[in-house]
Amino acid sequence: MKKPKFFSFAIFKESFKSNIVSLSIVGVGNAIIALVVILILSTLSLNSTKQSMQNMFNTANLEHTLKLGSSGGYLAFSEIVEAHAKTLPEAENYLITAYDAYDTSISLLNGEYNSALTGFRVIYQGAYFISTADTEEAKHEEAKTIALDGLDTVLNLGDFSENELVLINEFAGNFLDEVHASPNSNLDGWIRVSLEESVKNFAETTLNLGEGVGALLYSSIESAEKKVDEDPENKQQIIQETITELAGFALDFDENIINTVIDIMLTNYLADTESYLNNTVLEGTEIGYKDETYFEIIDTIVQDLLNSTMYYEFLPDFEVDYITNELGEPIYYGANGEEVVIQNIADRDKLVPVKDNMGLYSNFLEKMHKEMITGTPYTEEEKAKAQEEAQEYFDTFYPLLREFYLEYLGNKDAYYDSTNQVVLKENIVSRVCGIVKEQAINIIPSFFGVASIDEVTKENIGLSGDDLLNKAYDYSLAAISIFDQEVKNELEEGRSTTDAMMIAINRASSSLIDELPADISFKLDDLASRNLYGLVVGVILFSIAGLLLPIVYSILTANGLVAQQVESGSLAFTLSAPIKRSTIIVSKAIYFIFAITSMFLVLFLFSVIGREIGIAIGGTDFIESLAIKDLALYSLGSYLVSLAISGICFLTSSIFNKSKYAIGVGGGISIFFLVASILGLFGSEVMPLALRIDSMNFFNYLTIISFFNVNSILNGTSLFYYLLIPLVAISVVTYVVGCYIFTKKDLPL
Amino acid sequence: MEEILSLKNVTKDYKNNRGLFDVSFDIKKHEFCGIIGENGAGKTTLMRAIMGFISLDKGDIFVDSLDVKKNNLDIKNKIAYVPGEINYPDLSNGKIFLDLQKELDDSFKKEKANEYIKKFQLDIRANPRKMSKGMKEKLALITALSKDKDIYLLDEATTGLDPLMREVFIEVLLEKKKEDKTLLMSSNNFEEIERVCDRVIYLSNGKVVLDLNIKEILNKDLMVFSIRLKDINKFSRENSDFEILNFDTAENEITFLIEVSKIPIFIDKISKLNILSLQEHKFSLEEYINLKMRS
Repeated sequence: MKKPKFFSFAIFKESFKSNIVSLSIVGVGNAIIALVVILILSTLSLNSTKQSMQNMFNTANLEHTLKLGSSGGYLAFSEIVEAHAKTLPEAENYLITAYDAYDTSISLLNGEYNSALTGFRVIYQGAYFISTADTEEAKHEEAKTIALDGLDTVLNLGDFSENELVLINEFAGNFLDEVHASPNSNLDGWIRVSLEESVKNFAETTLNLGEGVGALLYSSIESAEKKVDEDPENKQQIIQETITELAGFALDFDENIINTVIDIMLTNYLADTESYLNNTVLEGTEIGYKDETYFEIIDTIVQDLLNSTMYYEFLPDFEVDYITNELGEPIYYGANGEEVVIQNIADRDKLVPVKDNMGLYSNFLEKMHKEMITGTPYTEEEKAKAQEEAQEYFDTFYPLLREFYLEYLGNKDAYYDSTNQVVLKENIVSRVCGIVKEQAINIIPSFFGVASIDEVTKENIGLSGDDLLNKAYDYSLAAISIFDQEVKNELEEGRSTTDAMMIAINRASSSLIDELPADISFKLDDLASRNLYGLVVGVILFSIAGLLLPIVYSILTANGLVAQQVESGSLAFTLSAPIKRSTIIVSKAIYFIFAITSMFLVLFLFSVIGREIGIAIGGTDFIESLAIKDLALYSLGSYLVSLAISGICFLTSSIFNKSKYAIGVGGGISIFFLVASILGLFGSEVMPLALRIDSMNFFNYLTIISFFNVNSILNGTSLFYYLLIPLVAISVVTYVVGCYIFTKKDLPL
Repeated sequence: MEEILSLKNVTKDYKNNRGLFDVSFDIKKHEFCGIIGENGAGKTTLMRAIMGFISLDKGDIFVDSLDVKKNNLDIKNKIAYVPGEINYPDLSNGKIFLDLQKELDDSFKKEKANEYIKKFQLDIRANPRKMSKGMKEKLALITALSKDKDIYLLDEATTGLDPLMREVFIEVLLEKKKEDKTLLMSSNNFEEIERVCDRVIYLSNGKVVLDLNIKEILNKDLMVFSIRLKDINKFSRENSDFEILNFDTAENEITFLIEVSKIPIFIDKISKLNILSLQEHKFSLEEYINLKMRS
């Protein structure tokens, strides 16, 4: 007696021979369909449609970037000229003068000049004594003139700066007046009273601080003097702090900018006053010390701006579904219809929603208010990433700033009319536009994914490199003129300089796409970014059309292998042979799996042949859009779906003794899966958004065919592989259970 | 002689009084046993139960002391089976089918098959699926009989055979008898069973109603006489000295069962009647069973 086997080749052979015709027809038929579809696709250039769509987006992005760069550059260059020619010298004048005044005043107050002043008084009193004038007043005037003439000898006036001399001379006169008026007071008294008067006058005339500020200035000097008394080492630091406190009265700058200016300017000034005043070119530098200091200030301010606000441009977009104002702040309308900016997250429910699907993508001003608009703030990671990107961007921008600064220093008259004290904006505009056009040569290729501007041609992109360079110039010019106009308008409406500039930059840098509702631009972008070949081959061919024949084959073959043989009785011959029932059913299952497998190997082979022929006859899009790996994955997915469905049919065929039930149930389920998958296709992720009906996605939950995730293959994610697991599981379970049931059931043979 | 097939209290209830109910009998080695019974009596169910194709509600079946439930593979080495309903896989010709049978079952003898093909005059070039009922039966018989087994299990295997082929079939079975094989065949053809079998089991509504030794019955030297009278009503049934098998008033025909020794008396008696015709033949199994069933 022979040992029982689990597999009988004879039964496999019988199954093979009795099904060879249908297997051949379905296998080859399916493969030929694939071949023909792929060949037809090769003659279409789907990618060109897609490419032109993509180019539209790329051009819009380029437009935005160039416009942003242009208006930003224009702003920066104008500010550089204005700062160097006007603002910084003004600030410097105030700072240095104020510093000197403080320095001198404090020295006077804490008695540094006491001996000199005593000598000065002795000279005055001597002259008064020997005076021959008639009145005491006349004697005083005569003695005062003589003493003031000798002031240089007592105080060594050459050590003082011009501004200090103004103060000292005034002080000296007042001092003598005070000595004359209050002979009973002491030296400290004379000094304090006369200094107070001198400082007040100095503040109003020399420092232009306005009426009343002089008293404030003097009291700040006195309190600074006390601090210096306690901590003489830090005199410089104390003076600097005091000046900063009062700077708001003198300079029309933002507070944080004042700090930066004072800090850098005074530090450098005090470090090497002579080189600063003479603007000496120090060793290892290319421009004067003062000019270098100015640039350091400008650079620092730009950096600060970048770190505080400009990086928002680099944060991810979101859809703005609520009405915002020009500054990107979410608003609602108050009782009298006035706009109210929401300050509190709790007020979000008052926000005014925009019409359905009309929300725009956020601009960088709205990004600053993301938390109020959407309810959730940007994460720290997002911010860190955006700051990094902003820094990278600035690193390319910085050399341009420096270059322009040097150019300006070499030819100041070209950019600043010192007579009328105005910036010559036309020249800055043409300079910026020129730079943008130069830079565009390097920037443009990256927007279209090519290596150099030479590859930007009408054939590749639809626009030639020259066209785009000219366009870049136009964008630049348009952006600057919009920016200029908007700044003017916003300032007229009473906005702060910073707000006006932010609004203006935002408006000047917007491109065509920015004006489209987010919903539409998202759909267009989605269409542009799709692999249409993948869609047609992966979805239509491999997951619908290519499944129909294998499913029909599975239904009929599964029935023919078991149920129909039981019903007709033809299985009796096999079953009466000395072979275990399990061997019979396992052999049939193995044949069935073999048949499905071979069918899909042929399909894969033919689709690869179709691809190669397609490429040979000119369908070069296939090289990237229909990679052999993709075809292999499509075939694998399609194969495992078919295998699972064959398992279901095999199971029902094993359960039922009548063909009508086996086909009715197994076939019914299988065809239902296919129909549900066709309906679900309209709601699935593979469908371009413009054509998608989201609610149809419901059907994808009703079919195992959706475990074959074409979208994942197209996007290169690993989800596809994970979703194969359920398919394999269904196949294993159905085949195993089918075999088990067959070995146990009653057979009417 | 030891029994080779043994059914003990076999029950398989298909409801509506169909199936098998407490069927027990033994078949001895070398015994040729026929099974008869009206349609739906359970003949095919019995065959399937022996083959192990269906599970039993109750009872056991032993083939050569092997339990069918537990040793399904081993009992198939001992039994050749012709199913009641014959159908074939979709193969292009009968030869491929027979070649496959050879591969499936080592006991299948090709030479035997060729011999039977000649005897049954079967054209095996045809697709078995497209064969006529008779051809299908021939192929099934050739398949089963070409296997060298101890037991042959034939389930109504000759319904489509023409009389000539039926003779061949009986001839072949008688050969098998000489080879000391065992046979269990169901049939509606009493003559077949009478000629081939030693024993007959009558199944009715899933129960064994009769279990007869054919030789014993038919060796009693009984004769059947049918006479036609002008007017049957003149014949008084009650006064007859002989056993009456049939009393047909429409045809005016009476059928008597007469022992050979009593024939002269019978002839003497009927000669006094106004007989239109007289027929006689040997008492057949069919008549015996009908008689039995009536009483």
